[in-house]
Amino acid sequence: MEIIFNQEIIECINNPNTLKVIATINNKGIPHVTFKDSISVNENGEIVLCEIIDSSVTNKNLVYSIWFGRSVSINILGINRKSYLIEGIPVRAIIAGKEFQKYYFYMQKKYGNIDLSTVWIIEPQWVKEETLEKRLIEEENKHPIINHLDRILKKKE
Amino acid sequence: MYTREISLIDTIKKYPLISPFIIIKIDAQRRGIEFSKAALSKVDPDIHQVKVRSFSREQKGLYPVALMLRDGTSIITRNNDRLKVREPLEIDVVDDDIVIRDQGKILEKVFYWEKPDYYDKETRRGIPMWKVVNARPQRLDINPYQFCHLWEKNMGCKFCGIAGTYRRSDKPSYLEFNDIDDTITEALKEYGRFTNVFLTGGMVTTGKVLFDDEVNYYIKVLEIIGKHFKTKKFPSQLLGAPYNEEQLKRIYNNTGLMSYSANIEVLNKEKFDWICPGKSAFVGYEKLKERLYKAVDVFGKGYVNTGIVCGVEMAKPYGFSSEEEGIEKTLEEAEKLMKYGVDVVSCVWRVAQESIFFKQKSPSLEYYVKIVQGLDNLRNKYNLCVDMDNYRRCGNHPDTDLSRIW
Ligand code: SF4
Repeated sequence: MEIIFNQEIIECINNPNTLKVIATINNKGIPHVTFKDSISVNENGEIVLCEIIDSSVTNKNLVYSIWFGRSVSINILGINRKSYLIEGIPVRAIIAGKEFQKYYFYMQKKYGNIDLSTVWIIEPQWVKEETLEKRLIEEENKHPIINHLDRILKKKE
Repeated sequence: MYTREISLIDTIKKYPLISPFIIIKIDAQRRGIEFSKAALSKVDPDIHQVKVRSFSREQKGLYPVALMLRDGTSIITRNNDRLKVREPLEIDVVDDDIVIRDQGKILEKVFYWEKPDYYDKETRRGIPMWKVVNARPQRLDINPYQFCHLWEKNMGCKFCGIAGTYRRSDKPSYLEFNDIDDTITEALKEYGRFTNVFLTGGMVTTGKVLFDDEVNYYIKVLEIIGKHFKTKKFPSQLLGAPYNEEQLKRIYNNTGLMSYSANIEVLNKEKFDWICPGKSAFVGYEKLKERLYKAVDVFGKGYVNTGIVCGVEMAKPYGFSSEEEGIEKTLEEAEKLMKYGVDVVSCVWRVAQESIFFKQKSPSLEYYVKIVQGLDNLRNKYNLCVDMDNYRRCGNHPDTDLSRIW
């Protein structure tokens, strides 16, 4: 697998204070977005999502994605207001065994006596910085023709 | 008459809305698998589960007992039988990954089941625990009675190979309560592994009333297990004989049991009478259905189901005459049960060499795809929750696998 994330992004994703959302679709194409605190990056550079609730819409949609090779979108917003958009494909649902148990203990340590349904491994396809300041500069450079004219009026003396 | 069969790869292409993972699973069960040398060299008996003793299976070799796909779907199948009724799928190694292959084409990565910590330990009287309680990835399987009274009377179900399995092994007919107690106590020490306890075994017809001895035996086993939990009820399933109302209430009220199944095996009275002569003589098709309906009153909707050995209804010479008819009649009858709140779950008929039907051939892959899709649609239509027998519990029902996405 190609390494997609640099160290800064890995640190941002693995920071417990970062906001993380995942968008998935179901078999009818209906989107679903939800906050997932349990998203992290593992030592292989893959995204790990620990799904607590077996019957959650995200869990069902991730099954749909792995079955039919559909992408999911993840967005993270760090405490420094830097934001990254990641597209990924779920490649594995770990539901039992020693690897699963490793995350089971981790989740219980973090959240107390809660259950764990599935450890999802999501392979990132690409990542893009979406921080507003950066996007504004990009937009100006790439699409100079798109602008409200009043924004470029000469200042009146 | 069987339909002309199309290949696995073409079936996946023909049914783009059905999970390819589940189509692969069905075919691997229907045709069996064969491990290459390289695939066997990936087996580590310290990590993987290679031994199993259940009422229907005995294996202590180097073969993995089952496979898992990337999505968590289990494939419970076996190294191909000597009979080779069909060409098996191949398990091989490519780029260090274990893969499943058909006609030279890699279909998916596969993983071998990991064995639980208790497996190599022994009970207080020195019985290896794997011989007492069998493990699925998240489920503890106990078969307290390892033979079946129907076979003692030569009235066993014609697809069933348990009599042959039993006679070839050295296993006792009944498990000892202390062995069950020791094994369950040990198994529950492994945190994050098990989510369910499952009880089943051959039918015990004796007792004051038909099946009373079986009910009493299961109550005892459930008490042994239940003492470990702080809640009265614990995630569990009993696949037993079709009990009467009093027996159902007794077992529900006096134990921690949460869900119940009694298998109808074939969804047609005439075929049932032929294929399951013992069940037909002791209970009868219509009465079995009535007992399942009663079970819904006792256990609740979503906590009762019945299993079918999908494909046996096509056995020769008295099975359905065409696959179209088999599909139509099976789903028609399944709907009647589901309407009442009894879920119908299917197993793929793997022609067992120890069974009376050992010379038969299972139907085409498409037959299975249409039936499991039909069952999944019906389950959705009648809003039946599949928790009690989903991919995390039994892992042997392709139709409940399909229900993962709704
Ligand atoms: S009831 Fe039928 S399927 Fe079950 S063990 Fe007895 S003979 Fe086999």
